[in-house]
Amino acid sequence: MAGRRRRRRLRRFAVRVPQYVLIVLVAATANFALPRLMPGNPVELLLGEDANRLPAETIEKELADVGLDQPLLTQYGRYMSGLAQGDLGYSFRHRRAVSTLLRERLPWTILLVGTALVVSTILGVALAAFAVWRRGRRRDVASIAVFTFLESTPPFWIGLLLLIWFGANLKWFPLFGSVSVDRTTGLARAGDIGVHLLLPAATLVLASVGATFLLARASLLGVVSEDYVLVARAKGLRERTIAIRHALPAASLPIATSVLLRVGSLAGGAVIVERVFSYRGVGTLMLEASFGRDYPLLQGGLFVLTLIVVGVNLLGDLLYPRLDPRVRR
Amino acid sequence: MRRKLLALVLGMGLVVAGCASDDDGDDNAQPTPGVTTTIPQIPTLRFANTSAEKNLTPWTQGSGYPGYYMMTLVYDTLAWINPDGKPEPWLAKEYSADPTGLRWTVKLHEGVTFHDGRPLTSADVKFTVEYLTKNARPRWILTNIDRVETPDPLTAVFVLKEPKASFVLNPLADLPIIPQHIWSSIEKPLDQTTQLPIGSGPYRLVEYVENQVHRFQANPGYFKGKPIVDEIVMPYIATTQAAFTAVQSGQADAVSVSLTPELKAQFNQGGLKTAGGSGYRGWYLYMNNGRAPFDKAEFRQAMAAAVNNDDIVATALLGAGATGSPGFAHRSTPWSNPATREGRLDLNKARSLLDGLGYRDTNNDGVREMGTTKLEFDLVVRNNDPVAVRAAELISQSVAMAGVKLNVAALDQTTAGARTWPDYAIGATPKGDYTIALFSWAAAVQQDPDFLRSMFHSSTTLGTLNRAGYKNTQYDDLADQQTKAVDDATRNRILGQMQDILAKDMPAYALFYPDDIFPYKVSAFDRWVYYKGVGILNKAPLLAPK
Repeated sequence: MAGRRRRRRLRRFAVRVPQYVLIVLVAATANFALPRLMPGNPVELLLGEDANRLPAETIEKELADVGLDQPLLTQYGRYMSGLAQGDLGYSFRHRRAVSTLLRERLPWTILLVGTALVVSTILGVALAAFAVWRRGRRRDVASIAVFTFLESTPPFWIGLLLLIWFGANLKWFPLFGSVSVDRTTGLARAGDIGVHLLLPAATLVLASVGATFLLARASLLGVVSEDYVLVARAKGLRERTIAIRHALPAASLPIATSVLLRVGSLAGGAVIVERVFSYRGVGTLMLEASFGRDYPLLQGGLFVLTLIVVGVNLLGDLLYPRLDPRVRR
Repeated sequence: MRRKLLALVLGMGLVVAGCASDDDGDDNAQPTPGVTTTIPQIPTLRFANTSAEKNLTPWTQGSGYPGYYMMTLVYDTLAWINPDGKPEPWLAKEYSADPTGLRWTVKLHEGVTFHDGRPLTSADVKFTVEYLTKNARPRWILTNIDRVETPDPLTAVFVLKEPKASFVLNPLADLPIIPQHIWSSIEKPLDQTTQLPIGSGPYRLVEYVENQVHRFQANPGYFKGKPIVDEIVMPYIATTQAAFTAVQSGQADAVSVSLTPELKAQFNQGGLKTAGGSGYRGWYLYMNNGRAPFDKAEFRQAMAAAVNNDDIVATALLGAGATGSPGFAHRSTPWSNPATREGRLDLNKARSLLDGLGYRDTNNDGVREMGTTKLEFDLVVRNNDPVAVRAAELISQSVAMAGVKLNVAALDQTTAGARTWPDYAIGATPKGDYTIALFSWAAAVQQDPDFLRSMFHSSTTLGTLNRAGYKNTQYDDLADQQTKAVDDATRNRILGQMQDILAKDMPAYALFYPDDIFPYKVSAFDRWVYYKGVGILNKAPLLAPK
C-alpha cells in the first residue's frame, strides 16, 4: 500500500520535473531576449549621454570588456553555459557579479514579501472566518465592500497615503530606506529594520489582503452549509471550534493554492512598493537595471525570480496531495 | 534634549575652532583680525539624494547634478566655478596663458595633501591628464592637450595643440585631480565601484552603500581650512515626492532635486526656505534636420512660430521659469545675443510659411497636406517629467492651430533618449528614429559656450551632440573660430553671429527653462547658495569664509 503510494508520488514527480525544467529554459531565453529588444544602447548609458565624444577605440574596448562586441548567438551561448555552471554573469553597470548583488538585495525583498504574505494570509483568513460566521449582517457586507475596494487599489497609491499619514504627518515611521542611515547594531538594528519594514509591508498587506479575504470567504461559505458542520453543531461544539477544527481545513485548499500563486504577484507589487519607500531590495535593483539596460543583471535577476516563482509552484504541486486526499488517488 | 544638543554643537564648535588655528599653517585658515566670524560647527547635515549615484570617482560617478558636486566634495579641481558661473582659482593659486594661448601656466597652492597625507604636486596634475587621455570620459575630452610640463612640484604647464577659449572652464575648473600614487596601479578605472576614493577635497567619502547612503566626513587638514559641517549624510530616496516629504517632516535638511512650482509656498514656512533661480537645465524642441519636411529651414521656422513658449511657462511651469531663445544660448549667459533672445508665438507667420511651402488643408480635416504627405508626426518626450509632458501637450495644441498635428509620444527615459538621434549619427550611438522631439539638456550645456559647437557642428567628431543633424559650413567655420578666440570680445562677437544663424536656420528651438527651487531647513544649515543654473550642493559654502 505504502509502496504503491510512493511509486505513484515518484511517477508524479517524474512527470512534473521535466515540465518545470522546460519552463525554466524558456523563461531563461525570454530573460535574455526581452532586455535586448528594448531600445537604447547600454554603452551610451554606461559611458554617458555623449559617449560618441569618446575615441572609437575607447568605445570598442568598452564593448569588448563587457562582451557586447560578440554576435547575439555567442552572447546567448555564453549566458546559457554560464547558467549551467551556476554563473549568473557580471553586471556591467555595477561592475560586480550578479550573484553578489542579488545576495545583497534578495534578503530584503524576501523579508518584505514574506512578511506581507504571512500577515495578509492570516489576516485575510481570520477576517473571512469572522465575516462568514456573521454572514449577511451589516459588518459582513461592509467588509466585502472595504476589501473589494482595497483589492482594486494600486499599491503605489496605498503606499503614498501611508507614507504621508504615518511617515510625514504623524512621524511614527521613517519615510525611506530599509534601515536607517545611522549605524546601529544588535537589538537596536533589529528594531530599526522592523520600523522600516512596517509601512512597506503594510502597503503590500493592504494591497493583497482583499484577495485572500474574498477567496477565503467564498470557500468557507461553501463549507459551512455542509452536513458535517451541522453535525458538529448538533454535537454541541463551540462555534469557534467548528470554524477552526472543521470548516477551515476543508476550505484551506483553494486558500493554499492562492497563497503560493500570489508569491509572483506580490514580488511584482514589491517592485513598486520598494520604490515608494526607497527600500533596498531586488525591485529597486531591477528597475535601475532596466533603465540602465544592464543586460546581465536583468537576465540574471529575472532568472532567479523565475526560479523562485517556479519553485514555489512546484512546491504547491507537491504539497497538494498532502492537503487533499482526493488528489492522491 | 534640544538644549543638550545645542550645547554639544557649541562645544564641538569651540574645540574645532581651537584645533583649526593650531594645526594649520595655511593663511586661509587664520581668522581675519577685527572681524569676529562665529560660525558654529555643525555636527551632521542630511542631504536627501534622489539620484542613484554610485561610487564617487571620475569613472563611476553618474549625474551632472548632484553627482559631480558630490564627487568634488572628495576631489579638487585647479579652478572652481563661483555662484555667478565664473571660474576662480582653487587648487591653483593662479593661472595664465602666454600670448599665443598655447601655453597655460598653473601655480599650485603649497601644502595641499591628499586624504592619505601624501602631497598633491604638479606630477599629479600631469598624471591626471595622461590617465584621462588613456581612459577617456565624455566630460573631459583632453585630446587638445599636447603635454603637461612640470618644471617644479608646484608648477604645471599645459601645452595645447590649438588655443582654447574655454580652457579655464574645462578642464581647469572641471577636471578633478587624482592621486598618481593610487591610480597608477589601476588598470580598469570603470571597475572602481567599491573602493572608496581618496582625493584632496574638503570631505572624505567614508561610507557608500549603493541605493542607501553616501557618508562624508570633514577633512580636518583641508588647505582652505576645516569645513563647517563635520559630517554630511546623503540618504538615497527613490522618489521626489518622498524626498520633499522628508524635508517637510524633518527627516532631511535639504534635497538634491528642484521642487515643482506649486509646492514653493509650502516650503517657505515652518523653518524651511528655498534657494534657487533660473535654471540652465532646459527643454528644447528638436527637429530631425535630415528628414523631410523638417529638412527645410522654413518649415522649422514655421514650427517654432507656432509654439507658444510664453504659455508653456505660464501654464506648465506656473510662471516659475524662463522662455528660451531662438539663438539657443540662455538669455542670462554673458554671450547671449540680444537680437535672438525672444521667440514668440506668431501663428500668421507659421501659416504663411507653410502656405509658401505648399502645405494646405485641402480636405478640411484641420491638418495640412501636400500630395500624400500629411503633416502629422509623433512628438517624442520622456514620461518621467510631468512638466515636460504637459508642455508637449501645449505644443501639440498650439501647432494644431497652424495645421500641423503632433501626437504626444511619452516614452520611458531611456527609450526617448535612444530615439532622439538623427538618422546619420555614427560611432557607438545607434541611429535615431524621430522626426520631432521635446528634449532636455543638463545645465552644463549653457555654462560653456563651446557647447554651441558640439551641439550643431556638422563634423561627426566635433558635433558630438548634434541631435538635430544640422549641417551648415558657415556655422562650422564660426564655431571653429570662437573656440580659438582668446579675447572675450572677439569670441562673444563670433558667438553672436552663430546665434544669428541658429535663429534663422532653427535646427532646434530652446523653449523653456524651469526655475530651480531647492528647499532646505534653515536651522540645520542656512549658508546654502544657489549656483547659477545648477543647484545648491557645492563644497564652497561648506567652508568657513576667509
